[in-house]
Amino acid sequence: MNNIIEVKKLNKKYKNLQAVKDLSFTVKEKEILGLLGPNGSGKTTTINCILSLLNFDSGEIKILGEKMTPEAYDIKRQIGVVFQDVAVFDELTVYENINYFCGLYIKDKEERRKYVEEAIDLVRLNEFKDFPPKKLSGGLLRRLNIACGIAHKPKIIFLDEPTVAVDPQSRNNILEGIKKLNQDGATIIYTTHYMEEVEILCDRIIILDKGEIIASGTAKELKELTNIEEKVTVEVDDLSIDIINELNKFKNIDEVIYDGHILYITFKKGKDNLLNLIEFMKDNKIKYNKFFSELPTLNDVFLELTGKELRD
Amino acid sequence: MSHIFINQFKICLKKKSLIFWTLIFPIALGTFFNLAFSNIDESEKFKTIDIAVVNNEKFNENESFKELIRALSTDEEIFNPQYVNLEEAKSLLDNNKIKGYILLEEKIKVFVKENGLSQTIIKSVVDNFYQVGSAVNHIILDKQNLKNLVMEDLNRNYFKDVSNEKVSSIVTYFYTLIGMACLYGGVFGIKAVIDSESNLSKKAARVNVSPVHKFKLLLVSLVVALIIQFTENLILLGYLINILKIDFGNQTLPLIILAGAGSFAGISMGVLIGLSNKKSEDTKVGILMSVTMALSFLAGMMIKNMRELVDKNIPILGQINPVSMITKALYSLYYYDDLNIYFQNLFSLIIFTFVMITISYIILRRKKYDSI
Ligand SMILES: Nc1ncnc2c1ncn2[C@@H]1O[C@H](COP(=O)(O)OP(=O)(O)OP(=O)(O)O)[C@@H](O)[C@H]1O
Ligand SMILES: [Mg+2]
Repeated sequence: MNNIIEVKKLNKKYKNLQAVKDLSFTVKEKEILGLLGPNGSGKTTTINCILSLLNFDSGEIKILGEKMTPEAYDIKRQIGVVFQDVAVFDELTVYENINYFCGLYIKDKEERRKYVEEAIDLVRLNEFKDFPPKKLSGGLLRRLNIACGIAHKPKIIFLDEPTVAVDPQSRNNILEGIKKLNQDGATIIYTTHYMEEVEILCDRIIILDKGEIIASGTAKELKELTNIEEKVTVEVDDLSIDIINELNKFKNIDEVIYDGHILYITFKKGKDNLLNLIEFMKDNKIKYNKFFSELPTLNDVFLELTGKELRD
Repeated sequence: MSHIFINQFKICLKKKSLIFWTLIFPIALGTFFNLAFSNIDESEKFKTIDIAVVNNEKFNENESFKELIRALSTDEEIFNPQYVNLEEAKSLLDNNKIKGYILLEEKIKVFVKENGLSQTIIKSVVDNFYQVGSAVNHIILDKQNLKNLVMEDLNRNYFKDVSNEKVSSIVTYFYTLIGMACLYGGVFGIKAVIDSESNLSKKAARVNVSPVHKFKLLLVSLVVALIIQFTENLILLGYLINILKIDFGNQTLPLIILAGAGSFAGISMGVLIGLSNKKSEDTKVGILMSVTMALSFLAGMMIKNMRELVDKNIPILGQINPVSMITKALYSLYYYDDLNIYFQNLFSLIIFTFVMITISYIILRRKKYDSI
């Protein structure tokens, strides 16, 4: 597969703040690459550097094999960007906004009309075509913002946290739309601080912290980086100190927390963790209500690599 | 490009704040001025001077002088003469019915009771008649010519002041208002740069990641701005001239050219203000309003004679103030027949615009930013 985007040793400082540090990665044709990182980790800065909107201190950026510059109009023609902040004209309707931004790429009126209609279908704003942006809810506005960025059917799409402050249903619509764009052949760079999103959506994930890559790979590969096998939650009342101490001596145990009602147990990598736990409960005649186990998440990976939560 | 042009038009016309500042506000202020000044207007109007001319033989023989008095009273409305005998003239003066009377003997004599502007004007007309008369003694005296020569002198020495009084107190307020409205057109310039500089708005970032050159977009926005602002200026002028009956002279073409140049100057100033800082659009509009108000104030919008005061004490300020330039150009159209002063100020206005645009261009050439 071809490299659509190559970033080599990118460094960007805002005055004294090193926002991006020695960042190198590639994006392959038709993949969805997720840039996952907490607030301020440098996701937006990275995208703006790639797009030649920002000066950077050092590094090299190539798109479609060519050096990216502000004058690289042939490259720009292939790119669509959905910025983190909603940027539309309040004075134009939904349709007119999409038409306006699409018109920066597509000159032919008839062709453009088709593209705009398709974009409206994709983000499901059909009912709101003639609405001014001011009358749209937050989620609908985000969808309009997306449509404005992708209506011209670009080959490469940058989406910077397109689902921030969006309700779950809108979010699912948006994610489905993005999947569809990808199936139609677009290469996608997607930034977010929601780990669930990158897990559902992305072929490959880069985890950023303080402007540096701390891990990258598929979701599965990343989870293998962590030492955790599973996390068990048990609803149980009146556990004695002795029992807790016993649990702490378990094989593969990482952490035991009990708040009087709910017991949280984290197991390190190993076999038969759940089986052993259930037998122990039986043997000690401990009665419990709910009992469930979860696999590690990207948050656990992040926690283990940085010592802090992905979401603060 | 045409779709950008059409949409920019739509955006500008739908943006209520833009239309408010550039059209509604100046019209409202003009209406207010008109209400506030309509009384002053009456009291300060130049009044025709009541005089008497002794209708004796000498007077009837002197065709030139007769014609001059006639011309000054019917064409120019300077004198309101009564042709009477000497006794009547004396009693009219005693009863303060006239400011003075003219008696033709060997020489032409003027009799007055007090000294004042009216009296001086009567004397001056007579003096002028002598001077001009002797200067052109040997050529055939064209009557029209004589009147013009006399008027020229009166204008130079007296009416300038009299008219100045009248003009600076009322009409100049409206001329300054036009200057203010032109600079308020800067709101379009501010909007245009915010929509095209990616460190100022995300909408602009959208344009800058597209294959459209930002100068192209900016140019389209500015042309749209110019068309709208120019049209609004013409509407404002039409309102002042036709509804409020403000006198703008009768040189239509120079007036229209000035309205265009003024729009251009205002928009270019807005562009520079838009580029000067990274604050919000509202803040930038606030800066534009304050600067415009200050410049209008210095050009005499609130205080009579402010402009003369500035011109006398800080001449440089008067020379770089576009509101002053517009006011002076309008005033000269109203007052002078020749266009010298008009062109001087039009030229200054064009230089002002050129400077604004040059500085803006230097700032606008950046393609990438350290921070957006
Ligand atoms: N214009 C700017 N001037 C100065 N510092 C900035 C600027 N923009 C961002 N930063 C700083 O650079 C760092 C990276 O910011 P960036 O916006 O790239 O992060 P992000 O990962 O996109 O965060 P978020 O999830 O909040 O969008 C942060 O510490 C931020 O405070
Ligand atoms: Mg961001």
